[in-house]
Amino acid sequence: MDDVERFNEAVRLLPCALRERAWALPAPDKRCVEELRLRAGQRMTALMPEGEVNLGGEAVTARDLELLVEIATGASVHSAREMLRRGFIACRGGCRVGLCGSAILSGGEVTGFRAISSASIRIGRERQGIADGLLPGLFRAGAFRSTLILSPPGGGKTTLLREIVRRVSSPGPLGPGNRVGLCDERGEIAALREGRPELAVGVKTDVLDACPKAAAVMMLLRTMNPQVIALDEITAPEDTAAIGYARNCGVELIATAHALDPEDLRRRPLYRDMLADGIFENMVIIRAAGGRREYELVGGEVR
Amino acid sequence: MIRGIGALLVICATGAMGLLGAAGLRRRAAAIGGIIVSLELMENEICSRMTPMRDVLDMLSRTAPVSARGLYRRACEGMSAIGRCSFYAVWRGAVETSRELRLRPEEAETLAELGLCLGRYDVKEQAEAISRVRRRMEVYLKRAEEERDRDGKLHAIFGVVSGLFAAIILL
Repeated sequence: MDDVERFNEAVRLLPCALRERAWALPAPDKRCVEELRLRAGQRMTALMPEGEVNLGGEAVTARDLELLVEIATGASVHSAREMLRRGFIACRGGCRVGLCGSAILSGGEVTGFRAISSASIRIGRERQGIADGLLPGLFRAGAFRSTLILSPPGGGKTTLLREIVRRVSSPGPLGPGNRVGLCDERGEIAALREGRPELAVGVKTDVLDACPKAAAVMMLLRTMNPQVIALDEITAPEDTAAIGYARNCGVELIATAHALDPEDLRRRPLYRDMLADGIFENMVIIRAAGGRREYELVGGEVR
Repeated sequence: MIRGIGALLVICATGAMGLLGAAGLRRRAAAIGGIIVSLELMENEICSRMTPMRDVLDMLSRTAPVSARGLYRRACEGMSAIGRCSFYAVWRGAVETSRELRLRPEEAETLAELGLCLGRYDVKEQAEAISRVRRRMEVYLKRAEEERDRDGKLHAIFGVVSGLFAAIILL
């Protein structure tokens, strides 16, 4: 599936009345759209590397947003309730619909949304080759070393993570390929469909999706004998605890975190202990520059 | 001779009309019974297995009682229209075009209104809605069975007798 097909897959999630505006984008723009954003009362926009572009047409209505959820869930809210509880719906082709609105609370927990006020359709992208310059630096003595990818939200962490996973698990100049256990909680790294990943994640990758990260790490450790475990967005103490446990078992890690740089990361209590323990030997910092992304590798044991 | 054949044809025609009427009443009761059984299957699939709606409809179009399969087949086919219209519109359309069910307007409305809940709310709310519709369909079934038992024979006898009268008058 190429970038235009992935864009088309995302557009099919829109109510018919909104599709025309998105189809009308020129092909080069379709290739670089990162998200389609819908806000009730505003016109639909496309998030491009240079910023949000207004797609014109009629303003998005609350009814459009309801239809979007109906399309994304296949008119089956009951099947998607765990995802809805966490504010998103994973869809075909690695697309993810993020939702905002009036949350429904039950027993102190969010169980869904009543009035949806905005939605963001994030388009899963494969960028094969983006890690070529980084990869030799992620290996020491022929073995992959634990790596943490940093960037602000929307910086391209998941795309880089997917590409590193693909390369680390595939035979190539850097080795025969590692067994990688991939925790894909939101189903946007591998986009499993009927057991097969729709996005390339390498030949030796075992994907565990729709499972909370901490539980997934422990399951992979017990069942799949991984050499490397990959997970997106460390956000909770359980995640850091599971990562520490995996590292103590001799498994290397690839993970991502929301942060501008290592200093930003060190300021947060959640990551401080993890960094003090020297779990990650490499850090990759993603920076956006003029619509492009630049990767900086910080090597050595990161503390 | 020709008069005799003509009289026989008239009797056969009116008798067949009466029998068709009786068969219609039987089919109506069977269809309502089929809907009740299929709603139970639907409730189990949604509430116990969290099966997506398209899969539920597809399964019921193959495994529901024969009398109700057309409804689910049409609803399943209509799922591709979601985006242009809501699931409620798809479901209502399927109910309204399933004329083989011989539902009365009140019965069809009860079934169509289920589309307002299906796939839209959490399992508990959907289960309650399905149970509510099933209970009402059971009331309709009882009424349809009474009509079948009471009017079925009447239709057949009235058809043959009216044919006989017509034949006597014509002869």
